[in-house]
Amino acid sequence: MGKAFDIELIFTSIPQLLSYLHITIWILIASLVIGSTLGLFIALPRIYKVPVLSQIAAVYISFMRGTPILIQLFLVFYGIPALLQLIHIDVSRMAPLVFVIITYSLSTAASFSEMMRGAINSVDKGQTEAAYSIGMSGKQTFTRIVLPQALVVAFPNFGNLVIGSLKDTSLAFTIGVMDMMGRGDTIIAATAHAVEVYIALAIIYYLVAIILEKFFVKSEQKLQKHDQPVHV
Amino acid sequence: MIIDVPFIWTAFVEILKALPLTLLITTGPLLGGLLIGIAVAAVRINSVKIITPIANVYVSFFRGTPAILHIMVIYLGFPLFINKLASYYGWGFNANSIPIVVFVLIALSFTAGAYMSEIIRSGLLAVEKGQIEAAYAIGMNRFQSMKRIVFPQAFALSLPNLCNIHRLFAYVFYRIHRIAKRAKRCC
Repeated sequence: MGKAFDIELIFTSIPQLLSYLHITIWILIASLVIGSTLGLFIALPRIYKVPVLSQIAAVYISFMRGTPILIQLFLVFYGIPALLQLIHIDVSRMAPLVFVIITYSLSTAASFSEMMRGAINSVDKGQTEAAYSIGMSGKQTFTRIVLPQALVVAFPNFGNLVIGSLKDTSLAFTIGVMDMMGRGDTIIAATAHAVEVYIALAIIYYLVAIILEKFFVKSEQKLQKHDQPVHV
Repeated sequence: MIIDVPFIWTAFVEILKALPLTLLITTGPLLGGLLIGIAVAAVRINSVKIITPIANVYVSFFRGTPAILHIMVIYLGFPLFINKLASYYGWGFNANSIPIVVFVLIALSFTAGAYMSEIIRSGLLAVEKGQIEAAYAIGMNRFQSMKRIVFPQAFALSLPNLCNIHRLFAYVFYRIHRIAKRAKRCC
């Protein structure tokens, strides 16, 4: 290599990288929204112990949490077009972004369903009994009584999940998505100064993570305002 | 592209040959990370004057940024740093003579250490205060109470989290090692 460490390059790379930050955030938000709704539906069979669906859900969750996210990315990226080709649908022109969002949604759904299962099980059984005793149906009990309390319990874990997902999105560039890391790769190819670009990327990710963390701490305090211990 | 099913077995056998290296890259940083984590956790629990903010920034940075970035920065930057030092002090060797595995283990130990320190800290704090008070009351000094009372309980409490993190690292580290190797060859 033999090239000197050029500290200026860090500061010139940061604006170039920031112009692609919106793609990273878009991947994060899309995968979280789709993954959360999917995760809730996957959690339901396991909570209510529906016979066949709960086993399928258990296998799905175990697989998604037990394999590396990068492997899942490649499986989806190469596997889905191959499978669809068997039924003569040609998706070779589809943007890699779609595959990325599919993969991260599936993975987030598995983690989210485990989180929700724990949170829903932690809501006091008495609440459900009281709801039944005043004549609410099962669905009403779930949406009006159990789910809101479960969401408050799950919120800190959800914050961890969001920050973990932010770090997972850094692997999307390996299948060709032009997000922040992808732009970093092109800058490296153009200037052959890898360390400076990676330091710039680390700074950006760190700042985003700090902002997210502060947001979640504030939200947690707001959500738990009603639960403050009594000051004597 | 058609899926070639028999190739799955061939690929499986070939990939299995890389298993020892994967295990090395997973367990090496875990042990290194354990040492770093214990030191950082001790600093953060006892609130040492100057080192605690540094430890806080270390943990916050290494947990808030993707592991792949830590690896790339240390993997690519450390040899540059060593070369600069060597030319400055005239040591007479350059970083190319250090095997790559050393850099991998150093970089991943730092990453692992940040996570481990949080786990160790939470395990230590989860032991009831009454246990420590009782230990002091019967005359144990600080080291004895840590070794005989606090540490076994803290270890048992943190074991699920440790296994979780080990699982996380086993997946992340080997892939990152491959990516970093490929990147190093290109520049």
